[in-house]
Amino acid sequence: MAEVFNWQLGRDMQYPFEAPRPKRQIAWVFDTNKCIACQTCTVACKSTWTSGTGQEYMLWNNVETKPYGFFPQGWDVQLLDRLGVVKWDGDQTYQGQTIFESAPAGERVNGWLPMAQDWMHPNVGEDEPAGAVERGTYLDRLPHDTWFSYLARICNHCTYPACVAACPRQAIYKRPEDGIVLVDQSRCRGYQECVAACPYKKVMYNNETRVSEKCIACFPKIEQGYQPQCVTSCIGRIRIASFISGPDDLDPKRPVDFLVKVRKVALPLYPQAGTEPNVYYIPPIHAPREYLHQMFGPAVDEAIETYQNIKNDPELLGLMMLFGSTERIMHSFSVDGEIATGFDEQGEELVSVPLREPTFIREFFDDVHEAYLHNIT
Amino acid sequence: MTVEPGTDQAPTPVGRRGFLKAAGAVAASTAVATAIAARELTRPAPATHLVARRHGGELPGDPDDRAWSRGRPWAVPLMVQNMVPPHAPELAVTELQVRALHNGERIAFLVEWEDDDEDAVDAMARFRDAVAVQLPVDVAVIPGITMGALNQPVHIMQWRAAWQRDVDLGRQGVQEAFPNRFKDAPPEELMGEEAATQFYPAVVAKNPMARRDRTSPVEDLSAVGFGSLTAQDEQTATGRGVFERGWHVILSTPLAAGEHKTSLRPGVTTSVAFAVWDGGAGNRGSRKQWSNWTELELEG
Ligand code: SF4
Ligand code: SF4
Repeated sequence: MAEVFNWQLGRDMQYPFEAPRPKRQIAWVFDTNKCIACQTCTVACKSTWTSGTGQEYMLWNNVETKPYGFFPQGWDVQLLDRLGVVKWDGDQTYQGQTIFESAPAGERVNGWLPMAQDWMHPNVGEDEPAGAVERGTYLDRLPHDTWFSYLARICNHCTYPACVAACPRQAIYKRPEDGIVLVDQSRCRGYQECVAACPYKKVMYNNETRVSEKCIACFPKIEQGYQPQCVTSCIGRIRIASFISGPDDLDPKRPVDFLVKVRKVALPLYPQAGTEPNVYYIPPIHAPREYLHQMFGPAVDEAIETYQNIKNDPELLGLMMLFGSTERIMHSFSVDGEIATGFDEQGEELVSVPLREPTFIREFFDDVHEAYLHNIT
Repeated sequence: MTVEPGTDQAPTPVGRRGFLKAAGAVAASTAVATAIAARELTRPAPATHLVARRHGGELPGDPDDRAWSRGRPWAVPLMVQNMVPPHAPELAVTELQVRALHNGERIAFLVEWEDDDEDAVDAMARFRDAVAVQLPVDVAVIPGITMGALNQPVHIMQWRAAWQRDVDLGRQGVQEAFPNRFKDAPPEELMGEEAATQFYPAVVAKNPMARRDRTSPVEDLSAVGFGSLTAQDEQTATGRGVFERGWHVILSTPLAAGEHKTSLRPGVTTSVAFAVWDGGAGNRGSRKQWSNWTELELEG
């Protein structure tokens, strides 16, 4: 075991080997508040990468409804069960054990292997609220009394990947040039140790080729300066993919740095697992806080407060408006007056968007059709 | 590990330290000698090591072949591989019975063990039974038990029950693992075999796991230590496994098998080691039971 620094836990942690950070790390921010669970991302991914025989239930990207949706069945409940109640020292340091530190004797990772039937219901719990909706209920406060929320998921291309740690034959590797984690399709011998180890269950076994496969972060696109398919196809414009600085660096002009480290509105999913995931989520403002605390860690309240104040925060607003506005990777952004602009790596302008789009408000009652209108903006 | 009292060759527990030491020594340890001494009291003409008898003509390809009765069975005690994680929580197979024959050109091992269930399907969270024979590349050297070491390469032949099915019944895939699954038209139906290959990344990467034209259930591999197992470029191993209240598996290789492989000859004495996996117990990869090196003599 080696000691490595996990900034999301605010402390050093045990990892099976020295794992220097990559030269650059690709990272994502997903705004859960804007996701409509249309699954366009899921379909974009599936039709690009996993339409072969043996990949029937392989969804590198999936969108599940919390609290009752899981793919595979119960993945996060299993994780929470293994790690126990989360304890943080203030908002800073994780007090519990990670999946590496709590590995039982003879194991590298504290994991579990889902059965085939656990992968069979990708849309279980879809649109199911946490509790019964009483007749006459209406939602008049935050968080909502009755709620559900969508969680879009891909491989987190973790800084300390459990899949890499678990493979006994080094068939999984993390690329130094961009931090993308890949299963070497020529070296894997189908042991499924990675499937058991990944706390997010984002490595999947191909029943036809008998080796494991996982999200490849659309690396052929990233190599050419484009964002992955799930990002560029997103109807709700909830996603952005760009590079994040290491724990000791920060550049407020970089979109992910700004969201994760400056405004701190985007948080890692189940950071207590200890893999330092690189997909960051803006938590759903309407879900109960206790639920969100166990899911995104102790910084949830602050993140939601900052997010709710967005109309008074032109920089944050401008950046959020740039989500989904270009297929290219946005390396930096700026906000000038009412206009937000994204730039490529060379500093060339990619796209400019207004902070507020013009709106037209219709009359509530339509005289022509003699009908009340639901949607008037 | 489980030690069954009363058997004439109870497996002897070897600690990690002892194991490492044994890596450089012939398997004539005191413990084994004691076991042999005990057996001498009850049986005549004890075998002291595994002997590959010389056989005239073709080596038997069927585990039922009477020719195997010429080879005296050699019991190989097994223990859980627990030098590197992950390891299996408990011993699933305690002992192998091994016989060997050679005909001056090839050597064949018949490896048998008891198993209640035939695990021959490779699928999600389902693992297959398997067995491996390990030989030093340089027959004069006893490499580390750690699947060889740098400068001490080993030649490994692995047989898997799932590969036996591929050979016997044709390539097994998702259709056989999940016969009732819902399926669309597979890519090969829409665009032909060749163009459809792009939908099978491991096939494109030429991963032997994904082979669609398997002709032998045994794979030739080489290793220079844990985690280094690599398929040999040239595949020359053959074999056949039959399940009947346990596995009866033949693994065979040419004596002079080529580069990075074993180079045996009649009259030579070297070492051999075994590993076995019980798929039903979740065994795969390093979750296995293995033996120490045992002496192997090829009749002149
Ligand atoms: S999310 Fe899972 S599969 Fe992806 S890098 Fe992390 S541990 Fe590996
Ligand atoms: S495409 Fe976007 S909005 Fe639609 S489900 Fe995926 S993440 Fe959510």
